[in-house]
Amino acid sequence: MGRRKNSNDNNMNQSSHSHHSHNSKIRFEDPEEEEEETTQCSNNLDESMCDPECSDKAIDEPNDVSFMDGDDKTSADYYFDSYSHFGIHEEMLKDVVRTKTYQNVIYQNKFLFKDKVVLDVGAGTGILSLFCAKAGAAHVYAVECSHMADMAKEIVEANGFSNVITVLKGKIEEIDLPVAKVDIIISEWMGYFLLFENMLNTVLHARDKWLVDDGVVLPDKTSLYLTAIEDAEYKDDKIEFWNNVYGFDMSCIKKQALMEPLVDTVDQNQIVTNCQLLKTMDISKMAPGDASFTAPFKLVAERDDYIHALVAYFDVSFTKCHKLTGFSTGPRSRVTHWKQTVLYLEDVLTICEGEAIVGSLAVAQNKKNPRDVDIMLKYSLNGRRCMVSKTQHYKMR
Amino acid sequence: MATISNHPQSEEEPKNHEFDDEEEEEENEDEELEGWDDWEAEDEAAEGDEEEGSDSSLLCLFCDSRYGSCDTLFDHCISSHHFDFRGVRTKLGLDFYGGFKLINYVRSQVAERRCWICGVTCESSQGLQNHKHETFSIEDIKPLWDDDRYLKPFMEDDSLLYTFGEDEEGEGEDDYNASIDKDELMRDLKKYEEICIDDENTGDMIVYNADNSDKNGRKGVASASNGHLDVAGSSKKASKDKHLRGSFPTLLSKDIKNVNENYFGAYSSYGIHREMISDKLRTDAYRQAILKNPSLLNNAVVMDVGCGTGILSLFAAQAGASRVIAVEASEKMAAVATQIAMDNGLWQSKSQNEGNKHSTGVIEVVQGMVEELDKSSKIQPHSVDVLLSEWMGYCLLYESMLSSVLFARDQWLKPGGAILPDTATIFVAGFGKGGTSFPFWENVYGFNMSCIGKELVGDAAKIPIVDIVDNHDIVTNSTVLQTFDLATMNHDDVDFTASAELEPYSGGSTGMSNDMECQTRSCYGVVLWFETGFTSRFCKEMPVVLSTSPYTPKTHWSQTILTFLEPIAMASGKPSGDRLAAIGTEACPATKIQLRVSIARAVEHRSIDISLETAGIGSDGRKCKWPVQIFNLH
Repeated sequence: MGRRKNSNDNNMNQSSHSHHSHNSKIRFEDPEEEEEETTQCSNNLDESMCDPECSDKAIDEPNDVSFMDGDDKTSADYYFDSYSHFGIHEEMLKDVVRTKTYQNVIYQNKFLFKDKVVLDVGAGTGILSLFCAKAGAAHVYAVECSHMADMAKEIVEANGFSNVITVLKGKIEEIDLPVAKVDIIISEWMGYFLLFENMLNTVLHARDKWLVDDGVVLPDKTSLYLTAIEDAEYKDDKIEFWNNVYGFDMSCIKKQALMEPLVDTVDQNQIVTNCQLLKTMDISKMAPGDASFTAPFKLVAERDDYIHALVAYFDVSFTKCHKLTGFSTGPRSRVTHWKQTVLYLEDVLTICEGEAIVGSLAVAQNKKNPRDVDIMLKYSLNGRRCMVSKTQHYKMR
Repeated sequence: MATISNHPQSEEEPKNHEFDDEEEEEENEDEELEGWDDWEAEDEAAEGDEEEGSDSSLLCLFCDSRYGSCDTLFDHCISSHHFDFRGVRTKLGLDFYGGFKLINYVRSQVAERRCWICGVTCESSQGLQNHKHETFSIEDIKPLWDDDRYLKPFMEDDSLLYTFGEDEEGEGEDDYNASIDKDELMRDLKKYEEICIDDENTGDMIVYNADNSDKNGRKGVASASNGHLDVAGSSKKASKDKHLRGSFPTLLSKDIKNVNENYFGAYSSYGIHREMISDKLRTDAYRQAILKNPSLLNNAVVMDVGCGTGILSLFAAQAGASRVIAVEASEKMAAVATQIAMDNGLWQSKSQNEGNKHSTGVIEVVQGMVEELDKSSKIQPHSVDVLLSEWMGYCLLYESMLSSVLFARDQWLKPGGAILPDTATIFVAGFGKGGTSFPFWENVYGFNMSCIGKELVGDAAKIPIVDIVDNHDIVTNSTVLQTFDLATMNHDDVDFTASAELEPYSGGSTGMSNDMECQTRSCYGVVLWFETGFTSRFCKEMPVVLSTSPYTPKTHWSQTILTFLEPIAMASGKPSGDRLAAIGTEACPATKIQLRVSIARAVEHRSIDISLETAGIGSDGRKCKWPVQIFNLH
C-alpha cells in the first residue's frame, strides 16, 4: 500500500525556507486557524501581534467572529498566529495546483477580463488581483480584511499596478465599493473539506450585492466527493497508537481521536471503492444555506479489502473558460494544501468485490461556532464477511 | 457494549467484525435499553407526586421522590432506604468520580429492581424498597461499582451527579480534589452520551474533554504547544485552550479567575500527548534513563511531576519502583493517567485493605499543582528517591515547569536523591539568510513580495520564532550559553545572564554562494537550543543525553530563533578592507560576534523575556554594538 507522507518530513525537504515550511509543524496542521486567517479574520490577531499594546483596538473592531477568538487568545497565540499568518500565505502560494490553476484560468482567458471590473474577495497577498491586472482587467478591487491588506498594497505598488488595483481593507459585508457593480468576482474561498472555515458566504454576499446580471464568478462550480480506503498502517499510527504506547495500554484515549477528521494525503492505491459524488454547488446560483446538506452515498468495492476510513475531497471548476479548467483535491490528483479529509471508522470493515457500503453523510455548520463543521456519517454494509450498521459523528474544529 | 470500559484493547485486532460479534453486542444493548425504558415509565408515573415543584430536580435513587438539595435527598435516602451516600463516601474515601460511579451504579440496579448490595432481583419496585439488609461490609461491595462504565450517567440529565459534590469544594484532599468544574464535566459527560449512542466497542473514560481533545489531536497541532504536561500550568497549552473556551462561551467570564484551571483544562487534549509520546527522541531518552539504570530505580520511591498520560510513571513502575507518585494538575489528564495505570495493572488502589486486581500496582495519581500538594499529608517530606519530570519548554525555559520541579525537589526529595534529568544546557549559534523568511518572498510567480519578508524579519527581531533550523543555515560555531545543575541550583538561578562569542563557522558549509569570493557571510541572528543530561551522577549504568540541537534529529521543541535588527557580515580573520566602514557591513565584516543574553521569567504566567545584546568585533579590534533587543513571549 502506498503511504501517506508525513507532513513534517515534507517540510524537512524544504530546507531553504525552513521557517515557514517548518512552521507548518507548529501551526499549519491546525487547518482551521490557518484557513480562517487567510480568509476573513486575521486582522485582529496580526495587529495585536505586531504591537501587543494595540490589542484593545483590535478587539474593538467590529468583527464578531474574531472578536471571540481574539478575546480567547493568549498573546502566545498572537505570536504564533502572526507568524503562521504569513506562513499560510506562503503555503498557499507554494500550492502549485491551486495557484497555477488560477493563473492559467486568468492568463489563458484574457477575453473574460479585458476591460472588466473585477472584485477579488479575500485577496490575501493580492496574487489573484495581480494576475487579473496583468490579464487586462479595467480595474481590480482587492478586498482583504486582515493586516495582509497593507502588505497587498505595498506589493501592488512594488509591482507597478497601483493604477489598476485598489486594495480595500475591510470586511466584504461592511465595505463600500467605489463602483456600483462588478463584472467578475474571483475568490479562493475553499477550506479543508471544502466547507471548513470557508469564505463561501462572503463570496455569495458579494455576488448578490455587486455582481452584474450576467457576471462571472470564478470559480463557479465545486463538488464534494466521498470514497473508502484501506488505511491500516495510518490508522494504526493515529488511532490504534493508543492501544500500545511503549508497551502500555492507553486505549481509553482512542475514542476521542476517532471523532476528529484528519486532514492528510491519501495514496490513490488505498482507494477500495468508487468515488461517490455527494454534492455539487453552483456558486453563481446557490443560496448560503445550500452548504448544509445530507447526501446519500453508495460505495461499491472494486476489490476484496479492508475499509478503515472514508475519505472526502472536492474539486473546483471554472466553467466560463475557453476550455473547462479546474482542479481536484482528490487522492488521484496532485497533492494540494487541502489534502484530503479522512473520517476513520470505529471498526474495520471487511468488504468483498461488488459489495456496497451505503449510507448518508450530513454536513452542517456547528451551531455554537459556525466556522466549525459537524459531520454525521451513517453507513451500513451487509456483506458476506461483515455486517455493520452504524452512525458516527465527527467535528471539524 | 457502550458502557463497558477497561477493555484492554491492545490485543484486539478489530480487523474482522463477524456477524456473530455484532449480534452479541446488540443484545447487550437491548438489555440496557429495556432497563432504561422501565425507568422512564416509572419516572413519568411519579411526576404527579412531586412536592417541591420545579426546584425539586433531584430524583431519589430508590423511589420517585424529588428534592431540591442533595442534603435533603440524602437524608431521605437514609431514613427511607437505609442508604447513607455521604457515609459510604466518607467511609470509603470516595472521590468525586467514586461518588459519581456509586450514584450511577445504584440507579442502574434500582432500574432493574435489583438490590444494589446483594444483587437480588425483586418482583416489583415496591418489593425492592422493602428488601433490606441489616449488616454488610461496604468495603466488600465496592468493586461492584468501581467500574468506569458507571462514569456514564445512567439517567439523562441527572442533576444529582453534578450537585452532590458541591458542598465539598475546598476540602478535597483526595487524589482528585473537589474543585471540579461540574458544569464542564457534565457537558463532557453529555457529549459522551451523544457520542456513545451508536458505539459498541469502547466505553472509555469520559472525564476528559471531548471538545478540547478533538481539536488538538486532529492534526498534531500539539507541537505548537510543545507539550509536556505541566503541573504548574503553561500557556502553551493555553494556546489550545481557546478552543475549549470558544466552544463554551459561558466560561469566558470566569477566565480571569480561572487562569490556571483553563491552562490545565487545555492539557486534557490527548493530541498533545500523542505528539509528545511520539516524539521518539524525547520519550526514548527518558525510557532509557529509567529502564537502563536498575540500581537507581529498583525499589525506589519515584515522583513524576506533571505526569500527563503517565508514560514516565509507567516506565518507572516497569523499572521496579516500589511507589510512583504521579502528580498532574489537569483534572482530566489525571483521570486519564489513572485510567491508563489501571488498564495496565499498575494502579495502586487507594483502599489498601482491598484485595482487588488493582492493588498490585505501584502508581498513584495525585491531582493538583505540585506547589499545593503539601496540604495533603500523604506524601512524607523528603521521602522520594527519584524525582522525575519532563519539564522543558521551548528554549528550555519558556513556560517550563522547572520551578515546580525545584519546588518538588526541596519538598520531597531525600537528601542525595536523584533528579532526572539532572543537567540542562542552553546552546547558541548564528544563522544565515537561509534561516530567514527573505528568500521565498523575493519572487512569487514573477511578482516581488519582499515587503512581506521584511515585515516577517522585522517582527522576528522582537518575537522569538520556534522552528526547526536546518543545520546548513548555521554560519557560526555553536557554543554553550548556560548550564543548569538541577540537583543544586537555586530557584533564582532560573533567571540568568550569560555571554558567548561566535566565530564564522569554518566547516564545509555549502549554503552561501559568495563563500568562494570573499568568505563573507551574513549572520541574521542566533538560534538557541538545549540539551538535558541524565548524567552518570545518578544514571550510573547508562547516562543519557536528550538533545534538541539542529545537528540531531528534530524534536517537538524545535529550536528558538532570535533575529538581529540587521544582518551582520562575518568573515574569518581577514583584515578588513575598509577601515572607515561600519563593522559588520560587507565592506568591513566582523570576525566575531559577542553576545550577552539574559533570560528571565516575565511577570506573566510562565512566560519569559529574552534580552539580546550584540556586538561585532572587527579584524582590527574595533567593536560595534547594536541596540539591545528584547524578545518577549507573553
